[in-house]
Amino acid sequence: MPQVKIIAKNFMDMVASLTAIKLDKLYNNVFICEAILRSLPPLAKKYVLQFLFTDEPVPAKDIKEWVLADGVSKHGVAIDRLIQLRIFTETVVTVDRKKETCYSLNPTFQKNLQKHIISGGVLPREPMNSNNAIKLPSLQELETYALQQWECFLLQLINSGQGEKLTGISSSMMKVFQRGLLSQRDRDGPRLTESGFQFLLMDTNAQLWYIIREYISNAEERDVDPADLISFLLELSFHVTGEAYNLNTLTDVQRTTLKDLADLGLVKLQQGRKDSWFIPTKLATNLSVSLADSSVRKEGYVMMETNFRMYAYSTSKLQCEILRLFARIEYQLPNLIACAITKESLYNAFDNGITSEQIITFLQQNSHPRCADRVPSIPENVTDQIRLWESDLKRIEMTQAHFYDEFPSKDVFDGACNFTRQLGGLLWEDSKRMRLVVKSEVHNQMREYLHTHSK
Amino acid sequence: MVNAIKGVFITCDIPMAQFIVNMNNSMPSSQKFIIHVLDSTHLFVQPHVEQMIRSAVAEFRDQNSYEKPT
Amino acid sequence: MASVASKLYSDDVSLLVLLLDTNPFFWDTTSTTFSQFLSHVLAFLNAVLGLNQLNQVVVIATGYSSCDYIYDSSLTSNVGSESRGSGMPALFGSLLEKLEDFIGRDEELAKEDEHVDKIAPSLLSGSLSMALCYIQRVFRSGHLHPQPRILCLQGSPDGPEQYVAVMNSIFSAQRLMVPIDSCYIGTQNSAFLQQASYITGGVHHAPKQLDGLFQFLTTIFATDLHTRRFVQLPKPVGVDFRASCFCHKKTIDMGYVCSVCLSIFCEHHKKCSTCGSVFGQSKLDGANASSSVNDRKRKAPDS
Repeated sequence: MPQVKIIAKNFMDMVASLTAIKLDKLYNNVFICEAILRSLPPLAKKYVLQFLFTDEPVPAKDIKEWVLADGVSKHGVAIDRLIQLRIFTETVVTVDRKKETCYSLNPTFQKNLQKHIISGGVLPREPMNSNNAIKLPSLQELETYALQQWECFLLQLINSGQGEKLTGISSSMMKVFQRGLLSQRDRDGPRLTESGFQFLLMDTNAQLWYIIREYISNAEERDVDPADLISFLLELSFHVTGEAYNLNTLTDVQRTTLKDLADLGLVKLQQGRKDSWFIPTKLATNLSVSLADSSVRKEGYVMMETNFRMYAYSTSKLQCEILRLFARIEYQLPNLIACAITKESLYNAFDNGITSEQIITFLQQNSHPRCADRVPSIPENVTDQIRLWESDLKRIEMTQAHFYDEFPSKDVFDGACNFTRQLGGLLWEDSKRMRLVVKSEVHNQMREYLHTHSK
Repeated sequence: MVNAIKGVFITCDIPMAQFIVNMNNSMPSSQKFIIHVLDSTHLFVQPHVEQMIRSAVAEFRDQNSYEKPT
Repeated sequence: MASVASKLYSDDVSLLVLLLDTNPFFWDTTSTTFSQFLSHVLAFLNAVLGLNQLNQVVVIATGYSSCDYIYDSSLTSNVGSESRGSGMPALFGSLLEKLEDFIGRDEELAKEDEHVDKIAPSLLSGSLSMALCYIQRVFRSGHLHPQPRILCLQGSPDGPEQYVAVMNSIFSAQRLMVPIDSCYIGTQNSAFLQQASYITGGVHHAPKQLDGLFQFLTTIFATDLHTRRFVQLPKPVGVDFRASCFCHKKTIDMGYVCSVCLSIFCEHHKKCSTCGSVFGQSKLDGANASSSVNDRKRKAPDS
């Protein structure tokens, strides 16, 4: 079960899990160094900066003195991360006959970052000269295009079989993305799983990273080196939004990748008379932003009333679909979706494995700024009722079990009780009438136990 | 000698336990499924009735929920 | 302030407003040239921008008699390719251009004044106010904005005649909860900057030499507000709280204070020049003197 909050961080874990040689190769690219720097926790960023022009290894205990007592745990996290990514190398130096752990910066990483900081940001590749032959879309158009493309993709992702084919993503690719998000039930087609629902509740950047991560982990099946893919994606995020870049400057692998990315709305491909070019959209250039732990907060759009009515200020079809997961859509105006949370709609959601807590957090995170200022942002009677309805479904708990009675003596009974309790299989006991109920899993052990002890 | 019976162990609240007991009583004697009423919130029933009880409870719940008159 | 906080980006995204001292009278006297100094600063700015893609940097030049915005990273993200031909860092081509422009204009203005016997102060109050205006605009611009802070890179001595204006800016910054960091690179101590950082909760530091300025800047001043809560930063050793009088703009240790509006004067006046209250001079003076003596006499046995 992927945890929502660490999706983006997971991507860096993936980078960290690359082999040492590949990782060192990655650091030859200035942009990757930069992107990696941005992905670090704040304290680790600070350490890297401080080490930037230091050639000597620095003793670990000196670094520890830089932080206050409150920050020791953060210090540990930062150092761990740096070592994991091979940005820091640990060496043991003997000073005054005492062995001391020292850290030094990865030389390639250091050199590249120094160069970057002294000479300023250079673009990964030259944009094409804007002449009259090329008509570039405005930033506004580009953003609408990107969001449209992305929503199209998401809709296709969750609707899978039904609906027309909207994007050019191959169905095998789609299957890869859907893995884990949809469960295939024979009875009524694919359904969103719990993580699928969580996926829909994430902000766009986190979703994007989830998809990209799947895309990369699938790379080897397509004979593409994951390291190449990672470096290209990170590099892409340093292009300027809205500029055109010639496709000639790319390798074949990058070109095929780019086609898939265009379907996700990361880039827009255009064909001229002679050349073709790609234009990165905001989704692409924001990639490295969301790498850090702290993701950007989105503005909410949901207003919840005490009478269980919900108004969502949104034009998006996707958001409508998300709300439909747990609410009844009553009517839609051009910029407003009016819906109601009912017992039936919630039971529907619970049936799909969505929990009341997930729904409540979703409502809280997406509440309209006017409501978000209030405490609580979602009326208490609504949250309570959602929880009550859920607990109403869980009134009965059933366990496969075995029932024992007619114990020959109190000692045997007590012994059996203790034995099953240690195994974690005791469900119920009645010491007066010497009866007990145990889980079916421990029945066999219980039988052996009784066999040896009751004689 | 110790006696063992295979079955399903049910934990629920008191009203729900009463509902199940009542359900059991309304059955013809050949179909009675409760083996032991352990206490007010615990029952021990025959192994095959799990699904049957769940659907009966769901039906009971549906009957109890308010429907807007159309 | 809760509403302001909820509009912030998470944790470590910062908006750095850098006040750059370009006072020609000061840079004449230093061993480090302005261009060396500038290379440190540019590298520092690059580092700050590199830490987070959402980080924003604004540079305001503080001249002798004027000040101006010379760089805003939110505007220049789409620099054309023309400025990069010269091998100049892409981002800062426009900064240097504007800076040159600014220094030229500032010099013109400075020529009109003549009385250059000592190093003249630069217009700190002006650039501080501009920085606060910018931040205020960011606060009002809606949705999300980075955490702002101001960094003064000052070398020229304090101008006591700017006392009131500077103090007002400091208090505004305090109200906005914007910390003012200060790095003083001149030879004397700057009471203004010490007070500014002390009152607003910023960091004040005066490096002994300018060779390793970059290291100082990144170690201390690149630290975002979130991280500051758990790292060691220089603590104020002693803050110079001296004020300037309102009448002659001199820095004074002891003076007269108007009992109505708290204006400070270095000598006795008949009437407060700020609020117009009349001080009943001779009588009060005598009464005060005698009463204070009486007080002391009366108190003596008790203690």
